[in-house]
Amino acid sequence: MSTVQPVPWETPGPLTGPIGVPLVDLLDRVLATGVVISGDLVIAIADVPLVRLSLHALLSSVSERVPAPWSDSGPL
Amino acid sequence: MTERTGPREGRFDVDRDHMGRDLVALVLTVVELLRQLMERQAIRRVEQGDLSDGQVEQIGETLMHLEDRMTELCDQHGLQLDDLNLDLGPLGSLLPRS
Amino acid sequence: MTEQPGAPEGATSTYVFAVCRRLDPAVLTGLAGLAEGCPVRGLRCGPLTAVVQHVPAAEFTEDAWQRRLSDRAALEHCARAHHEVVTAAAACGPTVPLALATLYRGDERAREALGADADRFTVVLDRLENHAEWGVKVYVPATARPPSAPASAAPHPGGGSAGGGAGRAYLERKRGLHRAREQHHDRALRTAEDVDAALTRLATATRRLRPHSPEMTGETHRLQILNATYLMRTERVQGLLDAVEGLRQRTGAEVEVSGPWVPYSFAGEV
Repeated sequence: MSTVQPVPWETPGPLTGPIGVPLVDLLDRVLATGVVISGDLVIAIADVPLVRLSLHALLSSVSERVPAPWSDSGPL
Repeated sequence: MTERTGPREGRFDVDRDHMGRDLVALVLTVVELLRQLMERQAIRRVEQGDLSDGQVEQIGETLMHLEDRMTELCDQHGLQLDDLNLDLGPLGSLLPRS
Repeated sequence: MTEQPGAPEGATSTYVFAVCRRLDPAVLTGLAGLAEGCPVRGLRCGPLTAVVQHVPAAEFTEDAWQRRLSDRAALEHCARAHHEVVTAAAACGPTVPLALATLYRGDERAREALGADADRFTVVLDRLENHAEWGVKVYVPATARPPSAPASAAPHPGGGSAGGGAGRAYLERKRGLHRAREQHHDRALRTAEDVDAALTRLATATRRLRPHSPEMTGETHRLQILNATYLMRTERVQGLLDAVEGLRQRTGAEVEVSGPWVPYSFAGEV
């Protein structure tokens, strides 16, 4: 059995510690598109957009509950 | 994202204004996409050299006026022509960023 | 996260952060994890140890996750809490970090499932030994924004034909802008390839991640053209840092290095 070399996770540093890692970089890694193993409940997160689609937001904001800004029911 | 103010119908101008502006931005973005595509195509044809001087001049003027008109329209709605875009998530954005 | 003291058995799920060989429980003390009040602990699964925590099942359903993913603050909280546990566990030796979110109905289910995958984990652990992940992001300046078009352009003195009118001048100007943009784009791509090629030579493994769009970075003055990550042997890290410095000088591009990371990007089948 080989001796385990401790890796310098504890090395304090503004960007490499558990606190203060840039969020985008963390999300790049933690929201994996590949799933390592199957749990009973695994969130297969594929390309979660961090910025919503303008179109989606627009379409979902126009529904029966919120009347459209145009007078007839509209071609959209 | 526009905040939904509950199940009550109607007279929430803040919501409507917001939605209205989103809709205008969306429409203008699509029009801008077409305008840029037409412009690209025109430039390609000019480079290929298969247009007469008269055609080049006419197409160029039309596109120039079209750009002016788009800039005006954006201005009227408090938008910037250069800022029009649509984020398609994993596909990147609709219009090429300069 | 809310506490659930004295909650009935079925109300909690077992959340798994990472899998390793040996674990010193001391490194996990005091970590909040994803649920205040439940300890983050090791769970022996055959030859391996999983780093787990009981969490309220109701807060970790598929729906609850979808909601959480749309809430920037909640997502950040989870990501950082998850990362804190993973990083703490990795202090003891090679660790396979799991992504968000892997849950089992209970400890026994987790033990069973992870134990069944022990061989796969062992392969990955062997590969990760003496390695860390290092991220490299490369930026080039965004092109200068073109000046807004005046209503009537003066005749353009360049171009081939005689009698340049306003229309032709407009097209010539646009053509110039497009060409400049293309050249800038091509240069940027070449730079990205050069950097990646140079660093890949030093790495055990490499992965390209999706570059961050201006919407994500909020930056308009520069464009990210490469977002890559490298699995590096510990003793080769200095070489990577030196190579990056050399590339900065040679290409003039901005290069940001982050690390060492627990190798999230290299935990799967590579």
